[in-house]
Amino acid sequence: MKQIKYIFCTGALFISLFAVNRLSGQTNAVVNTPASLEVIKAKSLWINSSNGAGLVLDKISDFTELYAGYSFNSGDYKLNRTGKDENILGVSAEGGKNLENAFAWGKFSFKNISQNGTLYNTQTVDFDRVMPYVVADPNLSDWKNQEYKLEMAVSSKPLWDRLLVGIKGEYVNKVGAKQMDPRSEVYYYHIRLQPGAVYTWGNNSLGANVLYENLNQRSKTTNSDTQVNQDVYVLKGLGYSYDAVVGGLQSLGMFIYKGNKLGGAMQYQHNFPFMTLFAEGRYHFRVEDVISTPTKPKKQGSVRENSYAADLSLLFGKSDLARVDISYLNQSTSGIEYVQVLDNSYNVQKWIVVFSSVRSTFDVQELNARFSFFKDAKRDYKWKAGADIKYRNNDDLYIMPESVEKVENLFYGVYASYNLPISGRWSVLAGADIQLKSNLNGRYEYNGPEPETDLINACMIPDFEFMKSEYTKIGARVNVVAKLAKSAVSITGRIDYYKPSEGSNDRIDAQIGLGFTF
Amino acid sequence: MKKRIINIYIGMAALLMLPACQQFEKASDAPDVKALTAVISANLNLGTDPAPEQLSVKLINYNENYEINTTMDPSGTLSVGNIIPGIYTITMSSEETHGQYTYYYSGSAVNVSIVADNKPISVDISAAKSGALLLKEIFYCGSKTSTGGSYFRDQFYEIYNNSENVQDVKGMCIALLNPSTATANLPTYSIENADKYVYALQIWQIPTNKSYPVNPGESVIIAQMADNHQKSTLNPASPVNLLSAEFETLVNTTSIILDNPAINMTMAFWPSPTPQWLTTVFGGAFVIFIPNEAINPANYINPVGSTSTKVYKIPIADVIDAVELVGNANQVQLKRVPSVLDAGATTVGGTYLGVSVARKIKTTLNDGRVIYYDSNNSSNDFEVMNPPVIRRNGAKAPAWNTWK
Repeated sequence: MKQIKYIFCTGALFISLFAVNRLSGQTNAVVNTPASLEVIKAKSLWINSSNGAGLVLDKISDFTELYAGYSFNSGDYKLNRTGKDENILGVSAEGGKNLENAFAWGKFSFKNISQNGTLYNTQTVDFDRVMPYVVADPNLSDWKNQEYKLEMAVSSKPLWDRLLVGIKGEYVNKVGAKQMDPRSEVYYYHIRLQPGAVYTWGNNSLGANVLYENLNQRSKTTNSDTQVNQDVYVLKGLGYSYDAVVGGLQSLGMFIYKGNKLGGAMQYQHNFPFMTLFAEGRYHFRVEDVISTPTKPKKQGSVRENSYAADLSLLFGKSDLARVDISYLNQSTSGIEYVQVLDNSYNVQKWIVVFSSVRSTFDVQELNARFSFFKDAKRDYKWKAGADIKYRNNDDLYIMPESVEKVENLFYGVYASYNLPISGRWSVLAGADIQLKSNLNGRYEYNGPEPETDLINACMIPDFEFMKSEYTKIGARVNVVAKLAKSAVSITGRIDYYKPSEGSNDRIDAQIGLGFTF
Repeated sequence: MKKRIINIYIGMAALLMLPACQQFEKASDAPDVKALTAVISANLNLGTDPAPEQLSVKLINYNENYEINTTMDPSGTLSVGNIIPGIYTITMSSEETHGQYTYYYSGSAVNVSIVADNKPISVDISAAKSGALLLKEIFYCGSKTSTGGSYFRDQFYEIYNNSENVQDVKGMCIALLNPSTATANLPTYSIENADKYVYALQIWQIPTNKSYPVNPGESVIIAQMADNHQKSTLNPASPVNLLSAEFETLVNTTSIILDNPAINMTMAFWPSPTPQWLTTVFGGAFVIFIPNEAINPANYINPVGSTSTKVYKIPIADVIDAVELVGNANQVQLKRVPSVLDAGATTVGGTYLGVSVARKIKTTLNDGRVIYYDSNNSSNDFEVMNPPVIRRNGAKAPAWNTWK
């Protein structure tokens, strides 16, 4: 808990530096608003890349944003592991600051998440990565989670008028507590560092960076009612599992996840007279080992991941700004399982790995295209509109005995926002969007030894049906903005409604918040 | 200055990546899984007994819940394909009639790692005429009370005469083996021929003062507490009434524990007794045996590295029957009972479930007498029964049990 306080205080202090500096230095500056921040980011090509060294090339003006919000998700249209109701209290702060010819950017966010009515998740708080070796139980439960995220990027001033060096970093900390037996305390963190450099000549910039990430998760599961042991499934992917018990002498031990990721990326930018082109290619290799019972470690599995990604961005115009983003991802994750024997020799007593092999694969291909247009985007925009389309193919395989899960979806939608001035200092930024999801292919065939368990019938099959289901999402958002002397304050409201094409389930995702921009 | 900054920068990046290298190397070596083949042969240790004509072969990977069944000619070799790399228990069995006797052929190889193609595996096969006394049903996991509490006094062990002949259980012992629960911390013993013994934590013995004959088809019940557990002062939700049990393991009477009609067994070995003989509800390992000499509790030994645990060594040759009970199927790899006595294990899969494990019926004779499986592999021979029942399938109580 003390560690969490440190993280929070560090983040708040880190961001407040941007805000204080901005205010103190801001004499005749124009006040930023939520719309102007959107424009700043739309004009920036390096800020979302892997290479922090290129930030200077974006020529971003100073900005700071503070935001506090409350969001509420509710409905039965969800994965088992998602809460039927979720309440999220979030605080975030983001800032960018020019330091003579250098640039620094930072962001801190905190979320306090209450989930009600989750199923088949015993000890996982991070679902962003592919990890098949997790524990699941059939008991309906609540979760109390907290997430902290610190991000930073720094770009140097030009060296020899040609070279920029910089670094990008990220620290994420998640803690979670499951509220019903078998109940878990989970501690997760990852830290990512991406040092990079950019060489510029003429209208060209060529960048390269490396990536290193370290990940750790500890999950300990116990029972409050020690009189009743709880059955759990230790999953291996696609519904394969073995049974274990929480409670008593044979209780499931602590699970520890340790991972490392290495990678790199290259970037290229060319400034045409009418357009700026930015392209990035990325690669990473990740390995994560899962062990149980650290006092007598037994390997539960490992994952080995190769990921290739490429992004292309085109930026047209200045006053009327148009941006095209195309991205491609090809990620292949292998699930490695181990054959282990117990060496019972006195003074040894440990599990020995006698064989390891890839037993499962989890492949993802994703192609994403997005077009955005900002009208009169010198600072705030008058209106914006856009469209996006995303193809995603999940192709999972358990090799022996063979089982498959394949889900191929297409997401597409349009959106628009209008920035309406009300009076001298007041304005309203209102937007709406509609997105549709179409399923192109979906197949789940489980050929394992236990096809009639709850895990298959109540978890795997309903989750597969959810993933391949088609839906329509309608969203609306409004920002009421008041410009003050040196800042702007905004009250934000957002609502998204998901309605699948089959069944009576639905889900609402709503948010209100208060933001300050400088 | 600028060069120094760049050198520091490159050095820092390289330093960051070093910790990952070893982990990456190990993961990169893992190949895609592929099906393996094993070459299995039978090593017949039959003495003067006739050879079997055919053997049933079963390969079980408990971790994967994966099983392959086939048959083989005992004089040749068998190539078994489609094997998932892993740890297997291989059992061979057959039942054949030669002359006037029924012979049970069995053998097993336990915890065999099959991780390379065409691995040769030899299984020793021995023959036995049908087993006489066997552990027929064990209720070990306890039951729940109506208020959700845990009740463990209703444990029982049923021993059945599966043979054609009268068996005398005078002086017969039941022992709980060390360790009491299946665990990765299996003890070792620094004695000569340590593998020729099993090691008991506790031994209870049927009195040696008189004969206790058990006819074919009869069984005797050993109860932790031979009372009616369904009475209001105990646990009305208990599945059993054990008042008719032949024997009980009475330590001391208390307000709850009475001296019931059952014959009190002798506490032959139990260095640190508790108020009742509660064996682990997670599943212990049990043997029944008739000692070839009087049990002297002073002749205990200690496992290597432990002075607090005292065990009594029982020659495997004295063991009549053995059953390995574990918490769940994945714990078979943690076996305590040598495979020569029990090649597998059985489980109810939980605690306080109010269910038992009982032997499967092999055949029912014309006179109604039931013959149970006894292949020395509890994984095959037992099934989970709900509720536990003493003397199920028409087993009779011995005539000397006048309180039945």
